[in-house]
Amino acid sequence: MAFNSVLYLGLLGVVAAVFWLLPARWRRGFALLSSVAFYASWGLAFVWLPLLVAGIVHIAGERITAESTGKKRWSRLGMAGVLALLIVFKYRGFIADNLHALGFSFGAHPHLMFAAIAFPIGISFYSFEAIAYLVDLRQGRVTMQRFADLCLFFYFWPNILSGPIVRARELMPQLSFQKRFEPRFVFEGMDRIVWGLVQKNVIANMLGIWVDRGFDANGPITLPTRDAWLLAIGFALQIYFDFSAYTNMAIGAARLLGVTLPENFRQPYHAATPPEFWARWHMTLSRWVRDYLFFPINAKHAGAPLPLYLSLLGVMALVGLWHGAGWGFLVWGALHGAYLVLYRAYESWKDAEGAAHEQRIAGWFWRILTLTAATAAWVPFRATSLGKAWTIWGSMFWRWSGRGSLGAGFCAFVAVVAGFCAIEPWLVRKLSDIEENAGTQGPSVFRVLVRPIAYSIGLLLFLLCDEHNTQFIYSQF
Amino acid sequence: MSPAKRELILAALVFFALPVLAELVLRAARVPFDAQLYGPDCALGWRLRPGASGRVSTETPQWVRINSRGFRDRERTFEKPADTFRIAVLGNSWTEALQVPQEKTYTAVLEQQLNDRKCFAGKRVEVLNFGVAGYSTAQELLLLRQKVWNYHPDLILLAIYPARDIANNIRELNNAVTPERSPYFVFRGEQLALDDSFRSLPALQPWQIRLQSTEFWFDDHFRTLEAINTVQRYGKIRVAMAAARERAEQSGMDNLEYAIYAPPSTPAMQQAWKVTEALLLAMNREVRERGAEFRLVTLATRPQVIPDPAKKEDLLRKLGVQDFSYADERINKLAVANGIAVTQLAPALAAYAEAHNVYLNGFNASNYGAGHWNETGHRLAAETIGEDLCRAPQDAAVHISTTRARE
Amino acid sequence: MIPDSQTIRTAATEAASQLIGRPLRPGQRLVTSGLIDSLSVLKLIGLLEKKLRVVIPPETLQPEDFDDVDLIVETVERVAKPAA
Repeated sequence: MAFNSVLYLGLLGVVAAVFWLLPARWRRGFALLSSVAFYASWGLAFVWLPLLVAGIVHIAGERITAESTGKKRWSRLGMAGVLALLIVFKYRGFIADNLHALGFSFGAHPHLMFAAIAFPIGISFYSFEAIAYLVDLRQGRVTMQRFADLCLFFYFWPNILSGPIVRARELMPQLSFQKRFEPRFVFEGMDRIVWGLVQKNVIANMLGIWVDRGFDANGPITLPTRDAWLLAIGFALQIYFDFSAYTNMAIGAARLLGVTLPENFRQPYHAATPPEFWARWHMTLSRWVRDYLFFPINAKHAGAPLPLYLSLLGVMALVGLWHGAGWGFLVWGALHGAYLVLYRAYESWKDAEGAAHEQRIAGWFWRILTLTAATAAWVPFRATSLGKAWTIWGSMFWRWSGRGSLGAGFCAFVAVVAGFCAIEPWLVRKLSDIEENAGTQGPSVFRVLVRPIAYSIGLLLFLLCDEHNTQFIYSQF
Repeated sequence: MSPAKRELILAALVFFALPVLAELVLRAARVPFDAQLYGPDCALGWRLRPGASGRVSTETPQWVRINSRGFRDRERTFEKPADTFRIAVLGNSWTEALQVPQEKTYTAVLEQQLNDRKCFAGKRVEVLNFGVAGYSTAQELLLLRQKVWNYHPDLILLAIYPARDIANNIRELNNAVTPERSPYFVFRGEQLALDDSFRSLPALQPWQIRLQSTEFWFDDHFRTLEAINTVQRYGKIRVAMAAARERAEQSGMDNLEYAIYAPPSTPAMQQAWKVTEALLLAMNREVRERGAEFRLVTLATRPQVIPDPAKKEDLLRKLGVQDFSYADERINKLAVANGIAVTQLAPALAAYAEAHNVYLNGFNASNYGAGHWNETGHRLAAETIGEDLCRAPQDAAVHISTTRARE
Repeated sequence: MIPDSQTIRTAATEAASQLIGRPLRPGQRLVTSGLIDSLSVLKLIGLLEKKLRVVIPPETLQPEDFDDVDLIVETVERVAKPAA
């Protein structure tokens, strides 16, 4: 059941209502039940997987808390178990394909052996949460939880599919649902959900129509320069709106239950430097990578340059692979790693030179450079093959040719969406100002009239662009 | 009650009042919207919804009713009345003919004419319309197997619209709005095999289909939803049109439909022809095995019936072909070689269009020459088919319409 | 010997202020606000070690363990060992 389906929205309303009507002590059970049902709607075959993860974490966790020695061993064992699941379910096809390409034989049909097991949705996310939990438990940041609570933690439906990747210490305490109902939960939740629906259906999917056609076309090998840029920018916008739409809907759904999930995006394309991009893009993932991979590695080496650069490259390449089993993802991650390395190198050079800090022009220069670099990096992420990515880069950077063929409609749409991105921070500030000024004395027009009307308009736009809608058009034209 | 809660209740009232208000306004204003005539079908991808009715205005406003069995036809029973010769017509939107009133469709006119002319040895004739928009030959074959035999037809008439049907028979070239929702036949070795991978699509799972029928109920009963669907449908059609245009540009042709006027030059088109020809022969075999007759009709495509000779010449020059008959002739040759009767509509319709300088496609100045047949087109099609059928009514011998415009 | 909380608090405030180049406001977040990055956390640890004469093994720590002064105090009390 997708977040942007009418059925889900209907059920969400029912679940939220029942949740608050139930006595507080039943809420946990109800949340677990609805979470499992939600996950089951994505395929019955893998309903048990989060349960297995919770089981592994529980057994390893018991040992970690019980034993004074061997904490490390048990936490490693637990992590290995979770990682093994992740690799088996997510990367086996990729590994098999590449081994096969290198000449390793799996019999006549390598695919039949591996691809037969479908992909369990969300495993990348809840397996990372499990690893974080084990580390935090060993290092004393969280205490051991009951098995049922662990299950709810991993199954919790707002974020099981695609994050935000939460840490036990921020979500676990909230899952006891001690809060009393407050009307602001509804407003805050609806804000995020309706905006997410618009982001997804009206902006991301619309962009996707053109972007997909551009990237998937078997047409001419080289694109006109303008088209290549438009496609790259179009995809950069599409993936941002798509993912932040999803995140908004996840955060909003949790909010309806009074739960606060961490933010995942803070207008990433406004980043002034590559590190800042990662502090604004998929924040819960970069936070995870920082805390559980990058920092421990570099702490060991006290931040020495060579290990630092190598770990940046390696960690980012892994981040790329985490997004999916494919060389394009790897290249995307490695590129971002390279950006971070270059920026670090520049910074240490600047510190050594004692150059003046952040001049205005330099600031804009870095801003544009970061945006361009991020946009270019999306090309292999999206392109159907590395070869194709290379030709698109070629058209963007060194094989200039005039006269674009992409329609004015796409140009205009990209321009509007990009313009929206540009003013997004200002807009967010303005809206929170209005909200603050609306006051708490008596009914405010903003909450009683403006908001419901905005919700209706948002939902109408969502419905107009709803491709899940059972529309059948087969007429020839 | 706390002020915050009062606010929430007020906001909820406003929120739920808005759609009610919209519904009331739309009802009061009596704004017409297009009906949703198609629904999912887990064996064929899609079908006409049984009993659906409403306005269709893609080309010209038309009030349409789908019969209770899901066909654009009057009500028909499975049992064939005594002393009746039944003709089942399989086809796509050109046969479905949502653009003209039901009694003006070529199948209905044909039924009328055959009964007037009494050339079936005094038997009454029924012409059943099984046309569904976007169906490929593959879908028509499946439809024949699954539904058409229930009606005990004596003659199966396959109406081919070459400009669409051939390409639609393979996945890469299918330009239905949702090509992924179609069944295909593919070659496994030298054998045709059904590729019904579309059945695993989420939208075609039984519970989804049940859910959709609930949605249809709401769509049928609320003007607001109907309005939303109408807007959405036009959006989707525009998107699909743009995609088709782009594909055509990439293949170096203004219009993919023109690919049938010359020998296939791309591997995809060659494959499409190969699959189509195999499907025609397979259908012929199955019809004969059932003891019925089989006849092909190649419908007249748009370029073939351009009334203005100069314009026609322009297009021929642009495409670099001698005439528009490659597909018709190729199908004809296949049929002759396999003892299948064929009626070609192009010669008669082209001659009429040129002689009377009238468009057979389109309904007003903005879409003359585009779109589907108008009433004149349907009448001529019915007359031409009727002529051929009466000349050799129960005789499956090879027979080709002799009126050739270009000879 | 591990210093008492008040000493740690003072040292933490000083170290953080030194790192960001201006006085630290009470309750201000360091890492989650983006004020200092993960490598600067290593520097912060170094400063704390020097000021408090303790050893803080960073491998078992995370940048967010140093997110604000309260957390720093808690973390130091949890993991610091007296310097040899």
